[in-house]
Amino acid sequence: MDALKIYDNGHQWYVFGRDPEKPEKIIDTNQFMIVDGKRSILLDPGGIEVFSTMLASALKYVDIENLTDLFASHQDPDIISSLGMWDQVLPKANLHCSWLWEGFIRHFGMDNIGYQPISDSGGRITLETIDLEFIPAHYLHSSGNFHVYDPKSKILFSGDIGAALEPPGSPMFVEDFDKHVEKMRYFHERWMPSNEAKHHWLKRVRKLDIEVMAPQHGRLFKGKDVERFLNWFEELDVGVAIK
Amino acid sequence: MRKASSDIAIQTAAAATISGHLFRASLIAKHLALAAKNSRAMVLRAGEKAVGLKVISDYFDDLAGKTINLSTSINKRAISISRTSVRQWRTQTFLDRMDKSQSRLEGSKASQLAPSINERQHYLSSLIGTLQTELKSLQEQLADINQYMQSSSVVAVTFKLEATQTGEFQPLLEDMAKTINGHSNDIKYHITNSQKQLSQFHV
Repeated sequence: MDALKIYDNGHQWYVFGRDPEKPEKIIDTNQFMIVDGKRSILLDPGGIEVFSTMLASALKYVDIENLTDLFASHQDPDIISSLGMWDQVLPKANLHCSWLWEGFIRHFGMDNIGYQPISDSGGRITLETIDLEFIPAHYLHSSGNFHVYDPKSKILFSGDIGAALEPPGSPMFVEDFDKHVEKMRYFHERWMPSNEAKHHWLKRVRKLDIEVMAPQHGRLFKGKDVERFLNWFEELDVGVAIK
Repeated sequence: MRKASSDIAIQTAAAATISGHLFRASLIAKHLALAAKNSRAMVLRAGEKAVGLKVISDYFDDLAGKTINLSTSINKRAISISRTSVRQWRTQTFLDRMDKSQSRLEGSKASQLAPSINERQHYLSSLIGTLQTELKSLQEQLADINQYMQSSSVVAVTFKLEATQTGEFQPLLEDMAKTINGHSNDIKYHITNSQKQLSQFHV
């Protein structure tokens, strides 16, 4: 599994993905880790199939006792079906996720890890020195959905928003936005259910100062490509399955 | 002590299959109890002619009650074994994945995984110990219920022979003996299949 440090100034952001050992038919995912001294958080730690690789990859950059928190943007299997494994290897950790999913997500197996419910209006977590904000993204696509914004690094982890379906081995960052659009179009048209929710999210996110937007599938956006994405998404008609 | 996850998956499916067989056996046992009560009522109606059958029908009634209780208790034990087996399966899966993680790490990073692996290994050992105890009890209970059903079949033959002396009640009582024997055989079928499934366990 490739690991790329995308920020390093007092605290660090890592992205893990493009796993060559991943079974062919499962969708490729990006996992993120923020390391802040003796506290670290894994964002959307992934499905059970990538657990072994993800654990080994994370431990290359952090000691196991410093893996203190997990975040799940929503309840999908590619996001958090590894929970039953993390629960056994990180019994003292806390999982941050929408209050809506607690009873559901526990089906993945959760005897030890603490569940920290995020209310619909959002929330925040302080690691050792930095604050992270949980930004509501409800109905995009899950009914209880959050993104993570780091005001210091100006990185927005955007879950399934900005996701693209790409062949294995693709670069981590968008290089040509216009070409990239076609890899994102169907995903957003079909997986995102609500134009109203989309506009609500755009209004909220446009108030943030974002240098990197990091989705859970596909490539990351940086600089002007972030604004390009927001404009493109604004114009896109979503929820096409019922039209 | 550690087994392949696929073997534990087979074992978990076997535990669930046993639970299903015993649930069906407990339902048949209820029919058996009803048949025993009917035979008792019929014997009372037959009066003096069927006096020899009263002891036998009382025995049936008692046997059916015991069978219901035992099959219910065995069913609970089979569900408990199934749960323990799922825990063993999940723990084994975790350990398999930890082995893979460890093989990708070196030195102190790899050794950071050792406490979790050791703790789960102990847990796995305790689960296997629990499973061994539960399986032993299950085997004994299955043997007991099988013994009940053997007795039931034998007594049904005696019942049928005794029924020949009950005049106009003979056809009805013979039919009841046949019903009781049929239910006993059906229960035996489920018990035998449960015993076969136990061979899937190698703990």
